[in-house]
This record gives sequence, structure tokens and C-alpha cells, in this order.
Amino acid sequence: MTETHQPNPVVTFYGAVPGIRAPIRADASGLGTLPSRGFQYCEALRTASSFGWYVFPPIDFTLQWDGSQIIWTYRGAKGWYPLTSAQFPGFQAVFDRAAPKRLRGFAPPFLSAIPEPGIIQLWTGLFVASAENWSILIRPPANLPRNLAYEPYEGIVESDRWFGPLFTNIRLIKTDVPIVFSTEMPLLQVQPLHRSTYAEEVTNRFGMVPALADFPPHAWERYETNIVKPREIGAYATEVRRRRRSGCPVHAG
Amino acid sequence: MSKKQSQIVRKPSKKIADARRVRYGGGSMPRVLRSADKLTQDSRTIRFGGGSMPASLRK
Repeated sequence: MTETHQPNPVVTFYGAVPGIRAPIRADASGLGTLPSRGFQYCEALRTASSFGWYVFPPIDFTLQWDGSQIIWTYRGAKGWYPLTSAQFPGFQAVFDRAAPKRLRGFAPPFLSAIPEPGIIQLWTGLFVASAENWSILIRPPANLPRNLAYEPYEGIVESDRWFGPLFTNIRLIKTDVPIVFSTEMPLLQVQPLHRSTYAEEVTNRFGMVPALADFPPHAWERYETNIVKPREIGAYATEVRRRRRSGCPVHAG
Repeated sequence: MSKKQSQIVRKPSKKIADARRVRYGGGSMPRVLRSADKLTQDSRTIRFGGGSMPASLRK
């Protein structure tokens, strides 16, 4: 495999909560949950699934929402507690021991209920930074079956300019049932985004060919090549993988 | 009211009587709710995204 020289990783995670599960590369098979035909032949599915890194909850915990109030408990807790804002268990003391004196008492909260009904903010126990001009998209894991009891919001952070806790906002959906978050299952997928990919100049405009009659000859030729002519099963996947092996498109040259 | 209509409403039948031992929704709430947990106590000094809150809600 040809490897392109890349001096620094594009994204760096900083572990703050002791002993938490480190992020892992997102998996092309969706942790084995994808249909095997899709995993074997559908490169689009594989690429989207494996783009970025899985991030896990820092502890097993459970929420329950009655439509107004949220209560919560965690592994090792003595019971259920109303959720307003909570530190990761025992983290405040850990933070204060490690942080510079002027920052003691400023540990980020683990879970917070915000004024909007059923919405919480959850800190992953990680901090994050990225290389210059790289942002991160924080989103639910791609192509992994989702828990129907909650939905993480998506957000793009300019983590090259903003260093801080990697947190997310979550909308609780189901009421009056325990909603379990496990350290065994990814909670989020963090994906690197070069800032140019979502610049206003890019997203404010797109091309549109309004009708078949307007298709230029090269469009018909490409349709013929890709769709009409007999091709081996998985030809697209083979070509994409071959190109990928030839090097990183961003750092090449 | 006709005689036929008055027969629709009946007294509760023993066949469908319920002791209310099982309840949906609120019934799944934990019976004991504690008020304080020293291990997770948060002073609310740090808030995420606080800058996006209406000024009237900021402290």
C-alpha cells in the first residue's frame, strides 16, 4: 500500500475522564450489522460507514424522561437522581488535581438538562483538536441501527480554532421508559471535514440540468459506461479501492 | 332516550375489573428518587453553548 506522508493526524482526541474507552476508527461493516452483500459490493455504504471515528459514552448510564423532568442513574450509583447538571462521577476532584490552579473548579459537566424539553447535553469525556482548516462533524454513527428512544443532533465545530470538550446535544424521544447508554456501543461518529467542503461559496450554488433533452454527450457516455455496459459485480468498488491505495487526495503531491 | 340505547351502558363487569397493579408510563418510574449525589454534584460553572441562550436566561 502506498502511504502518503502526513506529519500530524488531522484530528487529535484528548482523554480527560480516566479509564474511558478511546475512540476507534469507524467500521466499514457497521460493527457487523450491515448486510453481507452491502459490505462486500457496495463501496458507497462501506465508505460512509467507515468515514471517521466512533466515540463511546464514558460510562454506562440510563435516562428516563416523563415529558417534563429527566431522571438519571449510572453504573455504580445508589439510585436515581433528578437531572439538572451533573459531573462525571468523581471527575471534579480528578480535574482539580490535574488542572492549573487558576482553572480548578472549572471541570466540564458530564450531563446537563437544558431548558428545552427533553434535550440534554452530554460530554464524551474527551477534548478534541484538529489540524489547521479542518473541522469536525459530530453526528450519530453512520449506518448503525439507532436507538429509537433518542436522537443526537449533528454539529460542525471548527476544532482547529476552538479547543474544548467534545460534547453533543441529544433529543430524548420516548417518555416513561429507561433509555440506556452503554460504553459498548458507539454514541457518535466524528468525521473530519476540510473547511473548503462546506464553505458558503460551495454550498450556495450547485448545477442543475433540467431535463433529459439537455444532457450533454459526455453524460450519456458516462451513463453507458457505468450502468448500461456489462460490468463485473463490484467493479465500482474495485476501482475506488485501487484509487484509494494510490494515495491521499488531500496530501498527495 | 330509547330503551335500546340505555342498555349500552352497563355497570363494571368483574371480567374486566383491574386492580391497577400494572400501570403504563408513569408506572415504570423508579419508586425511590434520591435528591443528592456528591460524586456528580456540579456547580454549573461551565455550560456548553451558553452563548446561544437568550440573554435573559444567562446568569
